Amino acid sequence: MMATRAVPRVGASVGAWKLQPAVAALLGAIAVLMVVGGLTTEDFLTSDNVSAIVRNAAVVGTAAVGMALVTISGNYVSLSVQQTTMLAAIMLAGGLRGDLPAGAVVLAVVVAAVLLGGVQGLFVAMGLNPVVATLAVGSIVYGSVQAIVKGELIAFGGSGVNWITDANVLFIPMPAIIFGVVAAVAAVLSRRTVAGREVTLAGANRETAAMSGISVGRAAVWAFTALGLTVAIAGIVTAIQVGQANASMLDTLTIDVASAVLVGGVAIQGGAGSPAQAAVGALFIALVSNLMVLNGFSAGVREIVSGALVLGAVVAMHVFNERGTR
Amino acid sequence: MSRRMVDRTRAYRVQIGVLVALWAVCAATTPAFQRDDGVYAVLLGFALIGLVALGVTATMIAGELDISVAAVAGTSAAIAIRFSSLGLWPAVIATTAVAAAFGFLQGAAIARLRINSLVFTLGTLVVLGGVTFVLCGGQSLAVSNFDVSTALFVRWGVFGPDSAVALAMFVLLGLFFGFVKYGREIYAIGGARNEALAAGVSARRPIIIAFTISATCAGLAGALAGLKAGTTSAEAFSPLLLQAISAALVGGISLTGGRGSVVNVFLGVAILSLISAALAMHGAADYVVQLTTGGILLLVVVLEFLSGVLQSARDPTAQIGGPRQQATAAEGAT
Repeated sequence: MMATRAVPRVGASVGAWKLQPAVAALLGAIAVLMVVGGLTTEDFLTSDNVSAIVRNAAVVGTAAVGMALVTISGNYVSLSVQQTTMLAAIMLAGGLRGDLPAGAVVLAVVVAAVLLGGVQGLFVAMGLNPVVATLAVGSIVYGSVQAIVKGELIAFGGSGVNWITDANVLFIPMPAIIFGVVAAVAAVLSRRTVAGREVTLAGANRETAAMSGISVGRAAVWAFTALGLTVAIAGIVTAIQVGQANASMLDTLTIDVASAVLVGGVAIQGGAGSPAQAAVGALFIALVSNLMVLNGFSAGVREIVSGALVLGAVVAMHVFNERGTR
Repeated sequence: MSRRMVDRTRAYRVQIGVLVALWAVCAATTPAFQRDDGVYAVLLGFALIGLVALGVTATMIAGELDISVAAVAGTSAAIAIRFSSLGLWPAVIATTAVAAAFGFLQGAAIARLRINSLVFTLGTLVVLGGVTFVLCGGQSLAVSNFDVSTALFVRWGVFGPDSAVALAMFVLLGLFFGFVKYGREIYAIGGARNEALAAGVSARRPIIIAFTISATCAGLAGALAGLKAGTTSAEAFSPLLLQAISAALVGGISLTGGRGSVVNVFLGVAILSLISAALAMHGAADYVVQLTTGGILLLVVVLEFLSGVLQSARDPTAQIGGPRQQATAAEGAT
């Protein structure tokens, strides 16, 4: 839409495809885990288990792709991911239970989530702190939804949409395909479109970006709108997968999504990285946590390990970047 | 009133206005607010939300953000219940000491690595959630002797033991931030980090102190709340982060760092605590409290933003709190 406007090329960091060290390290770690897991853990490399892993990664990963754009745009993280995903799931469940046409319901959910994301982007573009603005919007969304549904569990029958989560294409479950497509599209758009590059450049250096005619505010609106879209998809997939929705579902989603972004090696100060990294991060966390489940680790220990992964990733990234700038 | 007093009060005008208006509404609609029961209920909010907000404020003044506070409170509640056989106050003191030690280590790591505190504490938040889970053994944990709980339900006029301890902490930290060199350094490092460093302020000490304070306050709050309830579970404290950060921000603490005082936190906590106390008396559900908290948070942030715009429109030299400052807020914590 703005493709006719020239954007200055600022070298390899924005334009070119390059396997980043962080991504390479993570892909290597995934490969090692697959081998070690396959050798030591029975039932790990079975098709059922692998499909369970990608299913688990799909919802968090889809939302993490959008969240990565917010982080790259220099706006840290959104704290309303859980609530907006829940809203999407509730809207879908309510619409399908009311026997409305599935296509119209899905469209309405996407439009609502995108608008909600755009509104948060506008708040940030105005100059409000992104963390605070999304914290506030998140609690307003949760409160409003709960005021309407009053803790009710909205269950809906199979209404012609179950293929979205149940179908397999070449043995790959649909949610994983959706996740892969979202990640790939986001990765390409963020490199190859003007809007995508503006998001990265605005995050890299606000002042320079503004002086080069890039609107930092518009970049924020783009990033938050994209997050709204990915969150809508995550909410729709979740609701259809479990066949029901309620206001307190997905209560750890915001933290899980932020963890995926950070473990994926997206720098928290913005301006660098690709949404695909967050997807790899989500996959890695799902893999580790699945291995721990199979080996009988308790929920508490699993949480400690995933926290340690986040800490390890951010410290390693930070030390690596410090070395690089010296 | 002296000119300085007027200036001081002006800094709190939005919050005082909101508080007075809310109190008037509550007094008109809720009988308890015509007696001292209302004050008692509002002050009880200081024991949990207030202490945690006070702690997180220390890091916000330093230009950082500790989002592990609710997790620290949750872990502390579990530790305090494990310590409860020691007796009420020994358990509280021992737990607070553990939390303080954690805060010191966390602050030292952040200061030494010069890492973004938001992401580092996001990691520790998840780890501590797991620790709480392990301490609770996957279910809810209860004190063996409920005498320690009943001791916290005593009422002295408008105070309870927990709200009295919390308010004492407010006074103590108010004095520390206002008059002690190490407290002033936290403002210096948060307001103008490079200038502060050039002037000889240690780069590490204020950060370590700020994070020690935040974990200590959160630990104390968690210990008191856990022992008072007599039981805790892994998820018991998760809504606390929203409430504590909201209280600090509603009170007018800035995320850019270097600004705000204990009075700001006090007002913020009073506003939120008043709302939840009044709603609880009317039997409203939790989500109403969350909805109102979010609404008030957005309202105050937008009001402050607009007043910053107006202020800089009137006086081009008035930069502090102006839109320019707000626009760069995201870059505050580096």
